[in-house]
Formats: sequence, C-alpha cells, structure tokens
Amino acid sequence: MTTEKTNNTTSEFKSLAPPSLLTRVINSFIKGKVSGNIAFVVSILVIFGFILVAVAPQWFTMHDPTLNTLTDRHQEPGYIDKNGNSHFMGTDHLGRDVWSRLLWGARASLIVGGAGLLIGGTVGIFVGLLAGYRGGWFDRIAMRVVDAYLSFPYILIAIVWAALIGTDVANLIIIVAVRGWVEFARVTRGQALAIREREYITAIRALGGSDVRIILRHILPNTMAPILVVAGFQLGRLILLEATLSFLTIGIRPPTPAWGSMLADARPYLSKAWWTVLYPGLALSLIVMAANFLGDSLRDKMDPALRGKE
Amino acid sequence: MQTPLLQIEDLKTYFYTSNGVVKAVDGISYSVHEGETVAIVGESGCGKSVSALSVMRLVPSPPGKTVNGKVIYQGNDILKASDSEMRKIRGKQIAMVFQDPMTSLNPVLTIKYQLVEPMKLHLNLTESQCVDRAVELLDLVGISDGRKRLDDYPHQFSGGMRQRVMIAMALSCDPKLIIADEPTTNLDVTIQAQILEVMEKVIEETKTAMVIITHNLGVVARYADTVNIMYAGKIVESGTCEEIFKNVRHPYTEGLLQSVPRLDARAERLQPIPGLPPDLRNLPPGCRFADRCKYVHAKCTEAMPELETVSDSHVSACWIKDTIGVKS
Repeated sequence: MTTEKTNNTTSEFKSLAPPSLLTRVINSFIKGKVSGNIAFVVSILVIFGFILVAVAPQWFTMHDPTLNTLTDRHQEPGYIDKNGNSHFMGTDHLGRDVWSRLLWGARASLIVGGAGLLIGGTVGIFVGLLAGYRGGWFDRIAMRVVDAYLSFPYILIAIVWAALIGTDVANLIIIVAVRGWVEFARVTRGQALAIREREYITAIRALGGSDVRIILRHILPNTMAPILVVAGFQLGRLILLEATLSFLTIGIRPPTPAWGSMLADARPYLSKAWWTVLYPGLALSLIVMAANFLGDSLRDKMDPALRGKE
Repeated sequence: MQTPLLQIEDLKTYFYTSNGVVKAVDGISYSVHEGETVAIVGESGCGKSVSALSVMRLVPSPPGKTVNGKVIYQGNDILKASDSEMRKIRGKQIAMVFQDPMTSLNPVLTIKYQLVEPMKLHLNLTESQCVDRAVELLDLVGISDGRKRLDDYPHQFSGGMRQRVMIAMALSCDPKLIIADEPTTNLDVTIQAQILEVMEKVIEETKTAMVIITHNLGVVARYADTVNIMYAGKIVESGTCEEIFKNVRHPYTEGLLQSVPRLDARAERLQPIPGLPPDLRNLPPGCRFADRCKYVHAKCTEAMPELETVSDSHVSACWIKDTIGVKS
C-alpha cells in the first residue's frame, strides 16, 4: 500500500518535470511542426557530424583521397572497381574517389573556417568591447574600418593578398580571420555601448572595480548571447569564403582535397560527370545552412522575448 | 566639534550639452560626521543624485564635469585623487546603494560572485573567508538562508531582496560612509519599511555614517540626524532634523511639508507646490524658487539669497526667512 503511494507520487512528479529534448523533438515531428528546437538540434547534429568527419575521415572510407587511378576516370556513383572496392559517389577526372575527397575536404573547410572564426572572433570581440566601452577616437576609427570592410568586396582583397603572401593553411586562416572579425566587432560594440550605461556597471564602479574588470567580468558575459548568434552565421560565411578561395585556386592547394577546388576541378565536366559537382556542392550547402540555422535558433533561444514561443 | 568625515565645499557639477550648460549641482556644501546620518531632500531633477555621484566621481564624463569645489574625505580632497587612489576609496571607504535594485545587479552573474567581488578587490581574504563573510552579510541584511541562495542569480530574487543584497555589497568592506541614492524609491511601501529598518540596524551596528538621498520626508524624519533641502542645484535650507521639521524657515521646505499627509495634524487638503522647477540651463538671477513661492516679493527676483544662520544648527537661504513658518 505504502509503496504504491510512493510510486504514484513519483509518477506525478515525473509528469510535472519538463519533457526531455528528445521527447520534444519527437513530439514536434509527430505534430508536423518544425519548431525552433528542431532546427537547433538538427543543425547541431550536422555540425558535430562534420567535425567528427574532419577529425577522423579515415573511419568512414578506405580510399586514399589523393590516389589517382586514371583507368577509372569519371566512373558513375556506385561503381565497383576491379579490386572490389565500392565508389558510391563515383570518381573524378583523375579517378579519385569523390566520397573520400569529400570527407578529407571537410577537414580543410573546418580547420580554416573554425580557426578563422576563433581568431576573428577574439579580435572582433576585443575591438568591439574597447570601442563600445571607451568610445572616443578608437571607436570612431574602428567603426569606420568596419564600414569600409562592409562596403568593399573582401574577395578582391583576399585574392591580392593570397597572391602576395601565398596560400598555405596558416595564411588562409589569417585571410579568413581578417574578414571574420568585422561583424563580431560591430555587434559587440553595440552591446558594450548599451551595457556600459546600465546601473550595475555604475554600481561595480562605485565598489572600486577597474575598467579592465568591468569590461571582462561584467560587460563581456552580457554580450555573449548575441556573440554566439553572430558566431553561428560567421562560421557559415567563413567556410564559404574558404571554398570560394579554393575554387579560385588561391585557397587550399592540390593535392589536398577541398570542396572549393573539387568544384573548380569538376566544372569543365559538369555535363558529363554531374556527381563530381553535386556532392561537394551539397556538402558545402549543408554545412553553411546548418551553421546559419544554428545562429538563427541560438538567437531565438537567447532572446527572452522569443523564448518559449514556438 | 571633531573634524567631519566628509566635507563638501562649494561643489559644482555641470553638464555640457549641445543645448547649453546644465547646472545640475551649483555650489553645495555640507558635511558628514562619523556615524551621522545626513539626508538630502528635494524633488526630482534638483541635483540630489548628481551631487552623490560627484562625491564618488562617477558622473559620466563627458558631458558631466565637476567644475569647482572640494570633497574632503578624512583630510584629503578626493576630487584631486588619482584614478587608482579613487578605486581604493570606492567600496572600501565610501560605498553606494543605488536607486533601482532591479537594474543595479548584473543579471548574468551569481549573487555570490557579486558579493565576493568587492571583498576580493579590497580585502585580503581567501575565497572561503569571502564566502563566509558573504553569508554573514546576507544574514545581517535579513536573508537568513544566505548560503543556499549564494548560487542564485538576481532574477531569482524579489526587489526587496535584491536591495538587501545591494546593501550587503555596500557593507562588504566595512566602509566608513554609505551613500544611499533613493534606496527605497522603487520598492513598495511595506518593503520600503523593511529595507529602512535593515539600513537603520546595520548602520547602528557598524557605526557607519550615511548620506541618504530621498524625496520621502517620512524617511528623513525618522532616520536622519541632519537634513539638507536641495532645490535647483542648491541647498536652500539645512539643519538638524528637529530644526527642519519644527522650525521651517524656507518656503520650499514648508511647501514640501504641506504636500505630504501627516498623521499628527488635522486632515486638511494637501497643498502641492504649484509650477515646476526652473530650467537648469537658464536659471533666473534671483531666488530660484521665486516663481513658485507664495511669499514672493520684488527682492526675490533681483538677487539670490545666500544661506544665513537661523540658529546654531540651522541655515536657510531666503530673504524673509525670519517671517516664514514661525508658527506654521
């Protein structure tokens, strides 16, 4: 009797507890509504999938992505070569396996995009905090530079720069980071500008807090929500930039596989071998979309006004 | 009489805006002795808060600037102190409690972090000593389950609780002086009483001096030792609490007293003061209260009255101070 009672109570408590993420995802699938949570979960899964592939591409294929087999050029998807190995995305104009090149290409995209995002984000947040908090000449100069960036096609600068300093991975990261800081700086500056006027900033100053402490301990945590959102969008944008540079043959250098250069290689054979174009294009679209959706759903999650509305 | 803890002399803080110079604080002087509670009273926009921020040197600059005067704290003019000296004074020597507890705590940091922060800045304590002290302080301000609540965020506290936390933060480094800028204005009446009770208790226990800025005359009557009445950037009447309430010598103070309900007087109609305070950018040459004063005469609009002695502990700036309120 007593145990029954306890069981009842627990089950009542259970029903009061918020449903788990998985339940909510399943529920919204059943109801046929694509909620913000779905976008969030799916985009996170996609991004983590790509990260896993980039970390260990050899787990997912047994082909060497740089191995030329000129007798197997432009084989269609599903082709099985004479060793009995399956090329389920076919082969390219040098007989290389498209699937394994795709996997290894994720590595280039994510390293350049990710590192560029980190460096650019750090610099941008720093510049933005300083500009927003200090104001004055630093703010004016920084924001004019930002305006200049946003009004000029960066790809031109990137091409000239890549031609001048060469294009190994480190240089590519720098080129991408130099584009990436801009949005971070602008958003962070706006936030810092608003937050420095809040009473709790005056309060901490009245308790003897220094400017450095106020910026790092009090303003920075308050800017994190919009910064995370920007980071989502920027990741997509920077991956696309890397792909563009590789497409223009000033990015990742052959034979290292990259999606951009795969597209460039495949372009002349578009009518003959559609698979060599389709799959890298799809991969690129998928990761950029996932990054953008992540940014978008992060914004919905971070914004108290939108939170809880589906 | 011993030397005061804080002495303010002819303090002037102006705001330089594109529409002209706003003389928010225009030459005020007062002093605070150790353990004393001084009230600064006046209606909105008369420079009360700016005078407090000037003392802490927290007036946003630009556009604000303290153009004249001395703020002598324990013998040193803190308007001349360097930034790092100033940081050692803020929080450690003089602490502040702000008006709006809903916005004066950082929403993304825990109460623990915010309570411990001033201690880390000013006291040589280990983390666990800081936390113990934080719990003690919370207990002092009437949050008894402090240890459990330390990891909570500000939004988990009500307005009154947050103001208690603010008071605990202000007390955390044993300051000699607390400046409370309308500490109860944004709280409802029952909570106001609780907070004032807490403040009275803690300053009693810690022997802290306090400057309380308010427009609530009830608060003044109960807690203040000395009262300064401010109007349009100037102190118009100043004296001990008893003198001010029993022996009004300025028409503005009289107006303030007549515009609040009293329990001990017959229920008459409340008499508001007609009109609005003057534009601080464009002040009249004469008495700043002349426009709204029911005793106004020719001299009032021509020359500004200075603070003159009424009694040992009472000054008033009015040309006809000797005829006002003698029996009100």
